[in-house]
Amino acid sequence: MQPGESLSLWSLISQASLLVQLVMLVLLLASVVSWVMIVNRGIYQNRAAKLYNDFEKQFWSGIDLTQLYKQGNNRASSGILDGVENIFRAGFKEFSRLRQQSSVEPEVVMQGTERAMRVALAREEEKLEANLSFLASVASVSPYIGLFGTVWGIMSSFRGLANVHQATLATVAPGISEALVATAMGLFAAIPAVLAYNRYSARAESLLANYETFAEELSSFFHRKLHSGQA
Amino acid sequence: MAFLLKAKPTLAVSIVASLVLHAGLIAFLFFGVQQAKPPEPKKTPKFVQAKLVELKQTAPEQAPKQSTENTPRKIDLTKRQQEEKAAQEKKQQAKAAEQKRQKELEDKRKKDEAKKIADAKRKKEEAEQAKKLEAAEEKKRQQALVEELDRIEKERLEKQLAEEAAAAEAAEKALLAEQQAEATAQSYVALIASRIEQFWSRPPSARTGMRCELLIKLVPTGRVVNVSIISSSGNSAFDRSAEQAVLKAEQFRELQNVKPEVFERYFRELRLVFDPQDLRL
Repeated sequence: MQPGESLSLWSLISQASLLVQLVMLVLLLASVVSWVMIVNRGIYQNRAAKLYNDFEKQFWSGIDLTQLYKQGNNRASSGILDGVENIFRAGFKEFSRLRQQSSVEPEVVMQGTERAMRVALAREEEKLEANLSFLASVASVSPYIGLFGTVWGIMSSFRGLANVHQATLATVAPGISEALVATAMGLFAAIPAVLAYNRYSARAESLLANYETFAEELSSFFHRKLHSGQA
Repeated sequence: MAFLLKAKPTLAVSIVASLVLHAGLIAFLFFGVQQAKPPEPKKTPKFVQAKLVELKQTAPEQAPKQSTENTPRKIDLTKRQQEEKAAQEKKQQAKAAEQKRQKELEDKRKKDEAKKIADAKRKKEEAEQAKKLEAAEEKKRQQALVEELDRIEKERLEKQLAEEAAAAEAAEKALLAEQQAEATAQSYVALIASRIEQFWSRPPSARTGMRCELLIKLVPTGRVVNVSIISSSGNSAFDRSAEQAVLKAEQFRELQNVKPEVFERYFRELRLVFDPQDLRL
């Protein structure tokens, strides 16, 4: 027990054994990466929700669909197109392309259009839920990694205790405190990841439901147009 | 490809945000811990307590010492005063001689001058003035002497205090060392007791609460030289089993690490209460 020994956070980390330090490093990296994904997903999903609202408003404003398609041409070529507009463009493109071939049956046109929209929908789903699985695994695994570091640190601190005749709290306390830093870091990485995962997966689900509803509405619109055109 | 290009700015933003967040958190933790540092010296109250006890014990000793030291100083003072008195007397004698001379002078002047009375008066006044001057000088000297005495006294007091403090510190250190020795001795005693318990075979008649006091004679190698029972448990089988356990243990090698003075004090003749804890009945 040195009286001048300070138990600052840095000394706790730097005096830990190599394995515990490694564990801490892994947890820090996991935390950094998971926060990158949290912010990234947050920005993306916010924008997707906003785009959906804007596009829906535009769609139901009674605008001509061909014009709506042409409006998006610019953005599509520069690659800044996201969310529900992609579904609309995929469906409309397929629909107009199939309709120009006069020999095609209306049923086949409908099937092709729906398939194209389904593909676009699947792609959007993938974009919405990208990285969420990483967040989930950080959330579930990092407490265990931290616990492993702690257990290892406590083990070595008790092993040191075996060589001492007089076992005082002061001989074990620094080691245990050192080891507990690993658990703290694990929880620090895990808690935001759990929260973010729950929130983002719920949000992605609701957005996808919105997209699906829109796709259904669009296909019913195409269906009406096809049959009124035939009649 | 297009998706990647488009995703890059947001990715950069999120990387920066994450790094800033972590850097800020780490900085906050470090500053927080550094601010929390000052209360840490609280760890040492044990030593402070020991000091307090020691000082309390020495405090009454200080007072009598001071009183005994005060009396010789008083004697010194009176001596000096006597010396001063002697000096004064001498001076007075000198003054008397001077006065005589002055009187002679006055006589001469009486012969010389007509205004004898005025002269005499003047001389008397002069003499008085001289006396006053001398008295004033004397006072000054006395004051200086008193001041010097005071200073010497203060120095002595300071020295005394410093010595007492040093003595108290030494005593405190000795006490601490003793406590430590006792603690280590206690740990070794515990070790010996547990070793004896290992070698002990429980007689069927042993019951909870049975205890006997053993006198174990040891040599510095840790070997048991002799065992005897000081106070019996009331059960001779138990007593004998305890004795047998000590004899079976034969040697406590750990005692070789004990300092010789500690060994002489605690382990040469070790009184051990044999009080096994694993009795179920």
